Amino acid sequence: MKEESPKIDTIFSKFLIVFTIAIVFMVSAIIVFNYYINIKSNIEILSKQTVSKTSDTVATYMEAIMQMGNATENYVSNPSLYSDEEIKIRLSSMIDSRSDIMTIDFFDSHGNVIAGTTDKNLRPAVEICSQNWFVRALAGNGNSYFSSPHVQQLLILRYPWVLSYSKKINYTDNNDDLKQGIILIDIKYEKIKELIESIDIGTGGYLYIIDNDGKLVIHPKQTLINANLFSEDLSNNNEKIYGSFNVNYNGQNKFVDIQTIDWTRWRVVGVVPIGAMITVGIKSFVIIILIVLLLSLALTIFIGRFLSNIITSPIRHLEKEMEAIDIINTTPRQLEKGSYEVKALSHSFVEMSKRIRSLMDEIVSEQEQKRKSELDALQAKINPHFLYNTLDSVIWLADAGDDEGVIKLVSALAKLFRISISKGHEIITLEEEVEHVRNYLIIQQMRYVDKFTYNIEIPDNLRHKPTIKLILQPIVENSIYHGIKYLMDPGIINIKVEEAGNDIKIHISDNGIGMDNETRLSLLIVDKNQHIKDGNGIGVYNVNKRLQLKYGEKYGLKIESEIEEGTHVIITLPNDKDIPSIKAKQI
Amino acid sequence: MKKRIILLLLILSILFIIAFSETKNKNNKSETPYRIAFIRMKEGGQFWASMRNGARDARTATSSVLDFYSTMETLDINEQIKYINQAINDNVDGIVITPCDNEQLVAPLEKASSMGIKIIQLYNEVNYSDKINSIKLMSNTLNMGHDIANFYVNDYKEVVRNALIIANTNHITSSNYMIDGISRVFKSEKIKYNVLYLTGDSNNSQYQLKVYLESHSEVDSILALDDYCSECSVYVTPLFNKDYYIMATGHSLLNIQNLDNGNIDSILVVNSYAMGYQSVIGMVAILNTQKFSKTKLDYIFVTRENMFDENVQKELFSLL
Repeated sequence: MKEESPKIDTIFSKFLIVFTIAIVFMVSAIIVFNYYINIKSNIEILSKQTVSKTSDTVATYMEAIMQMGNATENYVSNPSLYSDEEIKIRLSSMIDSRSDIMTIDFFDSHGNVIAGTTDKNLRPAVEICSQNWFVRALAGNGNSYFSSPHVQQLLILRYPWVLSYSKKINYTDNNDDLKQGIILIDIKYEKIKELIESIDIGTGGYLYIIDNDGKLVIHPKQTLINANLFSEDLSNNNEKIYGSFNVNYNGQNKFVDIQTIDWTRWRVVGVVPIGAMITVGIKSFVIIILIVLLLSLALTIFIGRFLSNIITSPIRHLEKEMEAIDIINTTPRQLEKGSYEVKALSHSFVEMSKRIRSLMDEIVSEQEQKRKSELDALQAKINPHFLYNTLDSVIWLADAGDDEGVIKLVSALAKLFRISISKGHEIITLEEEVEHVRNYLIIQQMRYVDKFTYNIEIPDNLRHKPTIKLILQPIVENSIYHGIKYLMDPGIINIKVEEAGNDIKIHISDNGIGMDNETRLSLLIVDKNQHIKDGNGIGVYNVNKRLQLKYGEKYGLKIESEIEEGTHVIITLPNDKDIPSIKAKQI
Repeated sequence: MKKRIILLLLILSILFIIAFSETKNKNNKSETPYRIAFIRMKEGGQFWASMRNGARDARTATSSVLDFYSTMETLDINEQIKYINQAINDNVDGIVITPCDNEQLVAPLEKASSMGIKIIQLYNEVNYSDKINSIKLMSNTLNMGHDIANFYVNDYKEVVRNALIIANTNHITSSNYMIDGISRVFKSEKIKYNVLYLTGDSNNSQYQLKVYLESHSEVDSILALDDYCSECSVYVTPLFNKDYYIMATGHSLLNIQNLDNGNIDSILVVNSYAMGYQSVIGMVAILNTQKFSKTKLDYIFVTRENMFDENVQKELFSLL
């Protein structure tokens, strides 16, 4: 028999697959969650560090500019120490040492340049002193002022973008009068913009600077902002002022960190599209997890099949054994392979099979014994009455000196008992059964002289058909005692055996007084006690029951009767194969 | 059970594919990024330079590849046709073009469209053809013409006004729409005006303008609709002893300086940076089969009084 391939549809395989999926998903979820927390935390920490560093860098830069302003103040505040030419040389050398400084100039309070690196093509003083950097510095009390990026309007027809540092100072003019002037240092906007843009704050992140009023000072996307192609969430900056917070702006989750720059009251704002960054990270991670999941599943299915085969093979073997074994006729074998549990199961099955078989044997034996006892009891009930009456007839014939009659009667009685005993055989041939009833009729005919005649017909081909014994005698007895006995005229009993398809039918008819329908039906009723109580019909009932026990419900007796007309009993038997007679067996 | 496992594997595979495809689409960082031909009318001039800068920034934002093409002269039609064919041969994904002629570029764009190349017509457009599958971006300048005329009316407050509108050619639709818009306002305001199309090189154009002004002494104001015409005006009008009201177009240094020293009265500054930026962003969106919202033309009018205003200087001096 071909070994069946192991199925994936096993308890073990199902368990293994479900368990693997659950574990992988659970572990994945935990890892993804931890990954999310870690990546978010790392991004926030790095962003804060970057913003802080930038703030320090810008503060340092601004401090350097202020130191330049102080140096300039030192040069210009006391003209007695430095000549105009010396001041110009010193300021020019400061500019030359730095590529980010455009001009260093000193103006009087009316916008006229007093000293500095710019002395040609200047715009009129009235235009200069109206500019924001000038106005703010003049209005201040000596504090440094850093402007927003703007187009400087110092030189005619020149329009450089600068950040202006300005500061009001007191100075002594050539007449030793104390006056107020404004120091201006223009920083090239491009340079400071490059400084800010060069700082990496992560994918998609950027830094920008806002002033004290929350207005943009430097922004890497300034051109896009100018073109209304990008907008910055400035309102949140003004609300929060300082520190870190998460914000959703234009549908994008962002982490924002704001730190104040020393000296300037400007603020550095770091923006990190944390959602997008995490999404990219998580997505990559999920892809890895999906790959792991697919591989795990494939591996699980493979291992599941393999292990399932190892574990369930003895069980399947046992299952096949159990399916194939005929418990009644054979004893199952004990399995030699498999785990301890499987072997124990096999042992239990074998023991159970033995026990079932033993119980079945006991039941069959008990039933057989019971049936035999019933038959023996039946026969035992018939024999004493009949024997008494027959022997009475023998005495009567002997008294009458009818030797021939005695011989005939005793001879018939002997044959009757011989067939009744039948060496203990339950099944005899129809011929023997008919012979048995014939002897009975001979005996009864001698008892009831001229009371009835009989006729028996049996075809030769049915003579050796098997039947359970003693089925005709009770019926014939019933005909005599309850039918013919009460007739004024001689009765007739006809016995005819015939083949009816796959069955054999035996017709026993008499012309006795018959019986009513109620009596007829009561002859075959189940209530055996009723027959015993009435004292009649028990023989017929027994015959019917024995036939049905032996051959099935389909077989048995059928009784037809009519008052004053007679009774017709039909026995139906199976038309089985011929058997040898008891006599032949003796030979 | 087998069916369930197959289904599970199928779902996981689909998730896997989606996860990969999503990453690829959104970042547009595939091994072959989109290649876009960006064809401008002219190389020089602040207007076109600013447009290029906008396109460059959009290229960085979208990780696409741009092939920049531009003619040396504004009306070099043959050169633009050559660029379109070059783009077709290079098998580009899209073409962004500011057509220099509304008639002669129809056939080349039809050819490009038939090759499945996506097309955006920027600022200018060609005549309608059902064989060109394109999107027109910021090409309807009719309203801008209205605004130019209205600004002129408010800023030049002479009682009698006689305007000369200078354009490059009548085959450039942006100029044509603007002239249409200006004409409607001028007609309603009963302002006399004429339109002069300058042809040829710079010297020829200046000569053409000079001859016109000599023969039309009634002209007291000039509306130059592009930087080329503005340049002509700046060079020609000082030859006349007359204070013309000049409205220039474009934020070239020449225009700014002339505004600053009073030779020009006002400047129309069109945000061509936004044009370049939006066109490339739009093209990538089209190639990704995503929707994108068209933005309107952005422009401001600058006078000497407001040229250093905080908001104005951001646009006026954006390239300096």
